[in-house]
Amino acid sequence: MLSLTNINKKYGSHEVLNFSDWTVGNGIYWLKGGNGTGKSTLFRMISGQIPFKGEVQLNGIQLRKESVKFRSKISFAEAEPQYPLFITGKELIDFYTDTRRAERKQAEELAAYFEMAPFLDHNIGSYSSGMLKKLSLICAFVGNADLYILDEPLITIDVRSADKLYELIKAKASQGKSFLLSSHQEVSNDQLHLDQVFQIVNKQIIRL
Amino acid sequence: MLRLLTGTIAKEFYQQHAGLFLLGFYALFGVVDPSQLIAYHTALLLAGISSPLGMLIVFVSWMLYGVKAHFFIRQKMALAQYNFINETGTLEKNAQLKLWMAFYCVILLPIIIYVFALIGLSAYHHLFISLICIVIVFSALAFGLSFLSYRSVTFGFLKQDRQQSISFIKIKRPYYSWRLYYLLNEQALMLVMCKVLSLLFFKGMLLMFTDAGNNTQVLLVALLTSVLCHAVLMFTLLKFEIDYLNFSKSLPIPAYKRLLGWLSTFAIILLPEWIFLSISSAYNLYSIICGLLFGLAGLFFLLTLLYMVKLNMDIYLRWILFFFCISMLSILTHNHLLFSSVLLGICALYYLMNFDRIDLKLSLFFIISGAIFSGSCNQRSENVTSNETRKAKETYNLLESYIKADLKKDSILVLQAPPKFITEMCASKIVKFKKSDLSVEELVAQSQSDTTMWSGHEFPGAHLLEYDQKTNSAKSADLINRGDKNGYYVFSRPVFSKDFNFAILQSAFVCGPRCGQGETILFEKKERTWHRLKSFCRSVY
Repeated sequence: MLSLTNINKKYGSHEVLNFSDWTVGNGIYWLKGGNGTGKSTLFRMISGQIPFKGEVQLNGIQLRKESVKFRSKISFAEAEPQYPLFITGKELIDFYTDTRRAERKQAEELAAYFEMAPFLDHNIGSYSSGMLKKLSLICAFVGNADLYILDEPLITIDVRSADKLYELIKAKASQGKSFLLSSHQEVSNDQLHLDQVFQIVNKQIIRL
Repeated sequence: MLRLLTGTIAKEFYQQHAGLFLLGFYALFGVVDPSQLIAYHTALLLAGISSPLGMLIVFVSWMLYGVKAHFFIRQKMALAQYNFINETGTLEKNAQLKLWMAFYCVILLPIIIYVFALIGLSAYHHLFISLICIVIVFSALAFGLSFLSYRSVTFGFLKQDRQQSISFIKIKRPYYSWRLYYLLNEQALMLVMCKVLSLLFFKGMLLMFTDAGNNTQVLLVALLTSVLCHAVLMFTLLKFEIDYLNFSKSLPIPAYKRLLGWLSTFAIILLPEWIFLSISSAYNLYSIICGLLFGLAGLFFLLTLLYMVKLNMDIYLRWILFFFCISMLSILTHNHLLFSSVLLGICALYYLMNFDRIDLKLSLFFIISGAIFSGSCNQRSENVTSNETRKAKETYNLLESYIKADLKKDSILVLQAPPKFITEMCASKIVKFKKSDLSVEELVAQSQSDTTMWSGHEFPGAHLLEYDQKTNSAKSADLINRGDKNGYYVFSRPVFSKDFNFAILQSAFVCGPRCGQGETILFEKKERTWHRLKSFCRSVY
């Protein structure tokens, strides 16, 4: 269960998020909201990438108190991933595999699943935006996290890859994993069964 | 376009090289007695124009500056955020060349000032050949640079792609080496210049204090100047970290490992200086240890400072001057070992503390002082914010249960303007029925005060109708557009008791100009759900 309490995030004097509590259980959750409402900010906060005021807990593990343990339970794929351009895709995946103590075989299977295996020895600088996105998704699925946070997972990837992603999410969800997704694209129930849809309105998260 | 170019690339150029300009300024004006300043500069300029060797040195310096500027601009143009520069490729050739010439005049401004001084002096001393050479070389430099930029914008696409991966060399590059690879791969020129400058300063300081011998103090002063030469390099490294390695912050890497990663990066960067220091100290162990600690502390401080000032170059430079003074003081008073240890400790502590807990812009000092001076104010404002947050949440829940449970609808038409609703008589009836923590006066005041327009996000299934001030009702055109002429709802902003266990809402249904009914409803919250308790002040019109 993911729980956020007394959250406040400002960029300078501009307040982006301000809410007292938000809790989600196991399942697939979709977060909606217009541009600049704070979806990516919220995801970055939960994944420990940016500083904020408040408390984030996942299954009783606090981000601030047990940050390494917390981070081992979550996996985050950014909307617009940026990696050093001179490293290869394989080097990046190996880094994720090492830090998440995952098996190389899992990473190889994921790369093959997303049809990225032939490009992993190339430098990231030579990747298209879709390939970069798929690489970030592979990195996110490496390991055995409890909560997967995928920010705009559908942008720049082709329809075939999007379908594969849906299948992977369904498979992981059936194993008891949770997902927090955001997208401006509508998802039908055939593609993905969402347990709940939320929206960020006026710095707060509301249930739709 | 010129304004845009100067406001972006030229500004960044001057910001990133501010340290270098400061150094140049100091070398030209700081080292000479003010009474000798004019004579010194006249002699310096004359040396540059009176002999072929002097002129060669001047021209080579200009070339180096020009090459540096050109590489900087090319590097920036390769970044996605500077893609707009390619738009200049749509201009005519002459217009493009004019634009780049004007732009390079801004970039070469320090040289232009120097050129005018040289021309004036050459004319005064009748050195006309020198004058012509200066004009030709400077014009060629400015035009050459402009032409190169024009070529790269207009015909850049003709270049063959560089082979990005060297497949036959397979070196394992661990994560913590990526920063160094970045410096070697993408900032090679800056790294080389930084190292050359650093070693020159190191050697220069040792020469300056030859009579004092190579004792630890002299070596540390030399090392301090070398550390300061890395100021821009540290800026570049942190920028790379924030732009390209931010993803690693969400990975389960212990903070101490991240810290050690940085320290090992500093150690590798400072390796040439340490070798130089070891040789200069004749392998004196104490000097070497002091140098190691001082170098690490110095670079770590520069990084921490950049974190604290959020990469603001202006503030960064000001604090570097402060750092220089404090470091000098510690060296001169023989407290350098303590100073280095404390500085290293503070920087490490700041890094570890900031990693998860505190906003980067807040230093420990700000937090402590902020906590002392604004504790009570913060408490009050937090209470207000949390009260507003709760009110918004309860409004959502209340209207959701009212629309679904009482009105039994999934979506409704609602007038965007809420009315001022409770009269004193009505309020006293409510208070009489259910004693809450609100008095009659408070109830009336609260119901009258909040008439903020509904935005449509406060409760589910609402389609808002525009409010017409003339008719005090919904705009008929909007109503027709919605395809529903049968009627709409008017909801007041609910008033909540202080403990948020009771709520009062006015709901009215309008079916025409003189058709409708309304009521004021008291709700009670049981097990987190709002239930209708009683209706008051019903009206039919």
